[in-house]
Amino acid sequence: MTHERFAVRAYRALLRMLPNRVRERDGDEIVTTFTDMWVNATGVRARIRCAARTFGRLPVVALVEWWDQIRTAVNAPAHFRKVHVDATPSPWARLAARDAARSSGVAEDLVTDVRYAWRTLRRSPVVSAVVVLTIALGIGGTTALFAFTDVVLLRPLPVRAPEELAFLSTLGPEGARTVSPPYPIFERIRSRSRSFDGMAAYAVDQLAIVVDGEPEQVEGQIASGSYFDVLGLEAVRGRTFSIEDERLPPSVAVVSYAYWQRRFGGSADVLGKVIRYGDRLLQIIGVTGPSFVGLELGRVIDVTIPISVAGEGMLGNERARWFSVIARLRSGRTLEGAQVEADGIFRSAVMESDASAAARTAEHIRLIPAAYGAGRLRQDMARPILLLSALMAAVMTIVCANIANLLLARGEARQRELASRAALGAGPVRIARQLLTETILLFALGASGGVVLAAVVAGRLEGFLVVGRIPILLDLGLNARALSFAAVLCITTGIVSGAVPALWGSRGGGFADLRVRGASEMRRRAGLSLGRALVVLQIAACVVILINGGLLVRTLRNLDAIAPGFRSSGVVTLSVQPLSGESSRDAWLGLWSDLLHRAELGSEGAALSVLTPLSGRDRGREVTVPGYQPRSEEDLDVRLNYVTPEYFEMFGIRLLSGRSFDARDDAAAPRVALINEAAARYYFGAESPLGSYVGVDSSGTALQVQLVGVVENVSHRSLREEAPRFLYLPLWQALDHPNRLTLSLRAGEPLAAVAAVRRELRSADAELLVSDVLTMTSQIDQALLRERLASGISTALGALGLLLAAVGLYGLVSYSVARRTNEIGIRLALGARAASIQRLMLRDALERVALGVAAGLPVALIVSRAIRSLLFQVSPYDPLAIAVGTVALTMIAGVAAYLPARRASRIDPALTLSGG
Amino acid sequence: MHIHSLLPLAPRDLLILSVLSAGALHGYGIIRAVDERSEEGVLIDPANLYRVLRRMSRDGWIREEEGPAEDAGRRRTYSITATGEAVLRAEVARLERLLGHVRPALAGARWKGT
Repeated sequence: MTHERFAVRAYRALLRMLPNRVRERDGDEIVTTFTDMWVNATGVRARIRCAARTFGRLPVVALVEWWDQIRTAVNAPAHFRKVHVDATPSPWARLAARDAARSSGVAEDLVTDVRYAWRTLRRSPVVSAVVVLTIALGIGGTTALFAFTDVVLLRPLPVRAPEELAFLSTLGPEGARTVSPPYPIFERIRSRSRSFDGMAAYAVDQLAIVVDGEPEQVEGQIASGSYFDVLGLEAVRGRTFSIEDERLPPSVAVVSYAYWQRRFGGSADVLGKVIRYGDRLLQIIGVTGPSFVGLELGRVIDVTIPISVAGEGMLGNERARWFSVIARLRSGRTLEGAQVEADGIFRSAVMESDASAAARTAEHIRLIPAAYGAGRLRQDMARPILLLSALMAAVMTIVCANIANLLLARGEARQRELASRAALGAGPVRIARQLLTETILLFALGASGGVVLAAVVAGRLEGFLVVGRIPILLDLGLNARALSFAAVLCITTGIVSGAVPALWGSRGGGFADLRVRGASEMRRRAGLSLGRALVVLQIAACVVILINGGLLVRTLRNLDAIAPGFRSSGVVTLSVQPLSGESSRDAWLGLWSDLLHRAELGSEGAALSVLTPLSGRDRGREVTVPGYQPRSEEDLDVRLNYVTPEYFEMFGIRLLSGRSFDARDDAAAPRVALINEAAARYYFGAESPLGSYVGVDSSGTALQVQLVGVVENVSHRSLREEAPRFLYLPLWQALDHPNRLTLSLRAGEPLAAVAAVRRELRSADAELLVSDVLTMTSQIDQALLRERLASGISTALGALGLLLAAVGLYGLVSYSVARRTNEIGIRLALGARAASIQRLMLRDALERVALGVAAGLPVALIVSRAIRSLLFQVSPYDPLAIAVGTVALTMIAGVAAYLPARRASRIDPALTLSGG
Repeated sequence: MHIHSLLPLAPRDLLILSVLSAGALHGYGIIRAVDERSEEGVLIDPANLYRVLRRMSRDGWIREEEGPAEDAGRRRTYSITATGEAVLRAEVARLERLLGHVRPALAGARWKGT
C-alpha cells in the first residue's frame, strides 16, 4: 500500500504551510484524520475526490490561518487602520481608506478575494491548469533534486562543531591513495601531538554477530574508546565508550537508535544485552541519538564495538593499514599547523621502527577537513549533481518563461474586465490585492502540487539507491530545509515570471483604459515580442537538456554493452560465514567441503570463492616473479582469489591456455595456480607463463606455486576500470583460512534454489550466517547506479523540458493566431490559400526555434564538456546526440506550432469580418 | 456576549454542533457525520475542521478530551458544552422562525402561479 504512505507523507509535509502554533496543537490530529479519510476512500474516483478535498484546500486554509496569526500579532487591527488613514491624507490613502471603510473586515475581505480568485481561475480552466501544472513540475523536480543535493553535498555531519573535524591519513610518494598510518604510529601521534582535542581510529565493516541466539549481519564499525568523545556525541540511553573500553579484552558495544528501535523494539532493557562477536561477548552499554548514522554517507552504522576486537596482532602490526582516523582540532590551531606537527611525529616514528623502508619515508601526514564526512558517494555524485542542477536550471528557465507567457496572455485578455471594475468604483488597492491573490493562489496550488511531487520523487529515489551488497541508505524525507527551499523557489519564480511582463507592460501605459479598443495595440505588440523572446529562451534551454540527456543515455547503453567478461544470468551469490570459529586447517577444510557438497545438492552448480566479480570486496598479496624487475612495491601487488574448480565454469570465464583446476588439486597435491591475462602480460610479456613458479607472500615467507593456466580478464571493481592482475589458487590449497566465503549458485530459478540450499546449509551448522543473497544481475545494476541515476533523471528532465517548451510554443502561436484573426480573415477573403496562411503562421514560430537552437547549442556543449568524466565512450561533441536532440526538438516544436496554424487557415473570413 | 450576536451560524458550524449534540466524536467521525447529514453538500477538509474546532473550544462551545494512548496513537474527542447546546438551539429556533416566514410565501407563490 505504498500510495497510502506517500499520501500521508506528502500531506504531513504540506502541513508545514500552517503556522507553527497551529501545527503543534493540531498537526497530529489533522494527519490522523486525513489518514482515516484516505484509507476509507476506495477506488480511484473516491481517492481523487479525497485528494481534491484535502490537498486542494490546504493552501487556502493555510492562507487563512496565517492571516489570523498576523491579525492576532498586530492585535488591534481597527486602531491600526485608523491611525494609518489619519496620518497620510494623500489621494492614494484616501482611496485605500474608502476600500477599508467599505470592507466588512479584513478576514472577510480575504475570504472574498480568495473565492473570487478561485472563480476567475476556474473560468479559464485550461490556462490555470497548465500554469499550476507547470509550477508543480518545476518546483517538484527542483525540490527533489535539492533534497538529494542537500543530503549528499550540503549537510554537515550531525555532530558537535563539525568544522573542527579532520581525517588524518598518509599520502604515499606518488600521491596515489590515502591510507591511515599503522596503529602503533597512530597511538603515538594521538598521545604526543598538542594540536588536537582528540583523535579516534575506526573501521567500517559488516559485522557477523549473534544476538539472543540469532546470527545476523549488521552494518557496523570498530572504533577507539575516544570515538564518541571526539565527535561530541552523547548516548540517549546508557553511555557511549570511554577510553577504558579500548583496553583488552573488549567487553562493550554501542548500538544506533535505528537498530535499537528495529531489533529491540525500543525497549529499555537493551542495556545489558549481550552481543556475541566471534568468540567475544560484548555487553550493550548505550544507544546513540537518532540523527547520527555514521561518518560515511549512505552507510548506516548500527553497531559500534571497541577497536580492540581486532586483536593484539593487528594493533601491534607496524605495517598494516586497516582503519581511518578522525581527529578534532584544538580551538585556535590551524589545519596546516596540526598537519606539520603530526607529520613530524609520524616521520620520526617511521625512522625509528624501520629505517630501511626507504620508500615509505616519502609518505606524509595529511589532514582532510571532515565536516561533511567521508565516503565515495559524495565524490561520485558531485558531478552528476552539478549536471542535474544545470539541467534543472534550464527547466526552471522554461517554467518561468512559460508562466510569464501565460500570465501575459491572460493579462491582455483581462484588460477590459479590470477596467470595468475600476470604473465601478473598486479602488486601486482592492484591484491590486485581487490580482495578487490570484497569483498567490495559482502559485500556492502549484507549489502544493510540487511538494507532493517532490515527496513522491524523493521516495522513489530512496528506493532506487537501495540495491546491491551495500545498499545506500539516505533519508530524503522533505525536511524544513527542503520546504524552505521550495518556498523560496516558488516566490522567486513568481517574482521573475510576474515581474518581467509587468515591467514590459508598463511601457505601454496604465491598464485602466476603457476608451479606445486600439489603445492596447502597442502593448500587445510589446507583449508578443517578449513572448517571442521567451520562446527562444525556452528552446535554447531545451536544447541544453536534450543534448546532455542524449549523451548520458548513450553512455548508459555503452556501459550496458560492455562485456563484463563473466556470465551473470542465472547466477546468485551468498556470503557464508560459520560463527563458531573453526581454527584448525583440517576442520576448516572439512567444514567447507561439506558445505559445498550440500550446496551442490540443492542447485545446478555451486562454487566457493573468496571474491566474486563486482562484489566490492577486495584482497591482495605481493608476489615474486622470476626474471621480473619491479619498479615499485605496487608492481608486485596482485588480487588473490581462492576458488573451487567450478568457479570458472560458473561465471563463464574462459581458459586461454594451459589447464584449469580439477579434483586432483586437493590439499595434498603440489601447489598450483592460475593467472589472468592481465597478470600474464604484465609479468611475462609475450612469453608463456605456463610451468613457471611464482612466490606468494604468506605471513612473511614466499610460498612457491606453479602456474598451470591463463584465464581471461573479468571486471573486478567496476565495469569502467580495466581488470586488475589476478592470481587464483585452489581453495583446498589456501594459504590462510578466511572465515567468510562466497557461495555462488547456478539455477534456472536462482532465488528458489537459495531457499533449498539454505535449508541444507542450516542442517549442517545452525550457527551459520548466510547474508548478502544477491543475483549477479542486481550487482551489475549497482555497479551502474550512478549512470542509471543520471541518465534516468536527465531523460525525465528532457521529456519535461520538451513538454513545457511545446506548451509554450503552442500558447504563443495560438495567441498570435487569435490576435491576427482579422488580418487572416482579410487575407483569406482576398484569395490567400490555406497553405500560404499556414506557412505565414509557421514561419514566425520556426524562426524562433532556429534562433533558440542556435543559442542553445554552444551552452549545451559547454555543459557537456564539464561533465566529460561522466561519459563513457561518447565524445562530449557526439554528433548523434546533437542531431537527435535538435531534430526531435524541431519536430515537436513544429507540431506544437502547426496545430494552431492549421486552425488559423480554417478561419471563416465572413465570420471574422462581420464580427470584427 | 448575547447569544444572538453570534448568529447566524455558518452552515458548517451548524452541522458540526448538531452532529456533536448527538454524542462525542473524533475528527474523522465528525467529517463522516457531516458528510452524511448534509448529503455531501458541505465538505469539510481536515485542516479547516481543526481550525473551526479550535475556535469553538476557545469560545467554550465544545470541550476537547485527549484520548488514551493506544498503539494507534492517541486521539482527541470533542463533545458539546452547555454553551454550545444553547447556541445550537438559538440557531435552530432562528432558522425555524425564518422558515415559518418563508413557507407561506412559497405556498402563496405556488397558489398565485396556478
